[in-house]
Order: sequence, then C-alpha cells, then structure tokens
Amino acid sequence: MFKPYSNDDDVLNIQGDALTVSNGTTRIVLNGTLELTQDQRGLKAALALKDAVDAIVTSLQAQSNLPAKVKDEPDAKPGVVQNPFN
Amino acid sequence: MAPKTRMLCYSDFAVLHSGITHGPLWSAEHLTRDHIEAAKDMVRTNKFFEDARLPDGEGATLADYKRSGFDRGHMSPAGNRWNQEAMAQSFSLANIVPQNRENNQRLWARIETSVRKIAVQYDDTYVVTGPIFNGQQLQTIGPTRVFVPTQLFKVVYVPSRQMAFAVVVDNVSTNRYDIKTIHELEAASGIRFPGIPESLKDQRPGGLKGV
Repeated sequence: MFKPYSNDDDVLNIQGDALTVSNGTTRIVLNGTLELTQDQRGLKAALALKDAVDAIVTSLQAQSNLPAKVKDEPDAKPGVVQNPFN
Repeated sequence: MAPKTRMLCYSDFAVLHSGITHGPLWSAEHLTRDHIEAAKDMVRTNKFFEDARLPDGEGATLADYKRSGFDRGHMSPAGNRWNQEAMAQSFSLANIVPQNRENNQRLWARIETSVRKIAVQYDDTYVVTGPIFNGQQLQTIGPTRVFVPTQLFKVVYVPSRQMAFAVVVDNVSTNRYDIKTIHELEAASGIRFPGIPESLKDQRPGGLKGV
C-alpha cells in the first residue's frame, strides 16, 4: 500500500519500472514512460496510477495548513576518501 | 577488491557485496523472454531496505542516502524482476549504488530498456551490472561513507548469438555511453568474467538499439 508522504523509502512500480512513483516526506517523484494500451494490461496500469494520484490528492487536501511552496532542502556535501583500489 | 566481500543470493539475481565500498561490486542476473514479459506486468509497492545478512557497518543504510543528492541506483533493475519476491528483494541496498539522478532516470533507464529488448529478442541473456571506482580520490555519502562510483558498467552475454559486450557510462548527467569489449571492461573494473568464453572477449558490437 502506497501511503503518500509517509516515508522516503517506498517506490510504487507500475509495469516493472516503466513508471515509478517514489514516495518522500516532502515530495513524491514520478518517473518514466507508461504505455496505456487499450487492453487489460493498460487498465491495470491506469488503475494503479489513478489510485496513487488519488491518494496523493486526498493527502494534500486533508492538510489544513498546506504551504504555498515547501522550501528546497539542500543536499548534504559528499565526503572524500582515498581510493583503496588504486 | 576482494577483502570484506560477501556473496548475497536473491531469488532471481545475485550480488557480490563489498564492506569497503558499502555496496555491490557486481549484481548478476539471467534474463529470459518469458521473465521479461512477466516483469512488464508487475505492479507493486516496494521499499528500500538494509540487508540483515550483512554485519553492522558493512552495508549502506537508508540514512546514508537521505538528502545525499544521489539516486538509489539499482544494479539488477527492479523492472527485470518477474515475481513479487524478486522485485521486493531488488530494493536491497546491497543491490544499489549512489547514482547521478539524471543519469539514472534518463540514460541508464534507456540502457536497461535496450537490454530487455535483447533478452526478448534472443531469450537467454546473462547480464552483470556494477560500479567502477576510478581515480585517486572518491566521493562518499552518509555516515557509513558509501563510495560513489565514477562509472557504471553493464556486461551483456547472449550465448545463442555468441555475443558479449560491455556498456560503460560516467556517473554524471550525460547521454553518452561507451561500448567496450569484455577484456577492456575486465581491465577497467578489476572484475573477471570466467563464464564468458575468452574467444568472445575482444568483439565489439556497434551499439545498443534505441539508446
């Protein structure tokens, strides 16, 4: 079950990894290209996408103090090590 | 590269994990036409996880990747997994390296799709994917200091076609990929591929269709 904004570690995969919906506590990211063919496979994928987007909309609408725009969080600076394989 | 390595078997792929890089050195899979067709129908909510078989400190943690600026890049891709258990297991951080975001989402996704096409066309296909660590110094992420690869490789071997080659990309935002021979890849990665006949290790096919 994909619970929007509940964690940073869930990924909903639709048609393998044709389309991924990556959960996050401040942002959800959709990636990929989904072919919605006029068949059972297309319907299954469309329903999965619809369920995910519906859950996202419901979650956002349920928040009474939804900000206009969340702040971008800066990435941590990477560390540096000597390459032990060199 | 051999110290602190452990072999981890999953239901349809296998990983050699390094307690030094805190990630995979390679991830190997056997693709078939039927399995790729099954994988295309998969709908599943997955969760990245730390493999409990690894001793403390050897594996990467979820915290290492948080706000690291890097994607959690699958080596054996989720999109090749043909059953629920296998797809769930592909989210083990032992199958993941820190990968440039645009690279993962664009170029690498297209390379993975091209390899699937090869498996659908020729059936039995063996694929090994992994990181390359080049240069005097390396970047790391998180408290565990997970090594950031400088390049990524994919080795593709199709026995029925007597075809073997490697794809190498820099771990940066790029659309460029290089086709290497298996011997060239062995020299660059420090990894040997004894399952591929020596007679095929110097051939260089033109490229990948559709990338």
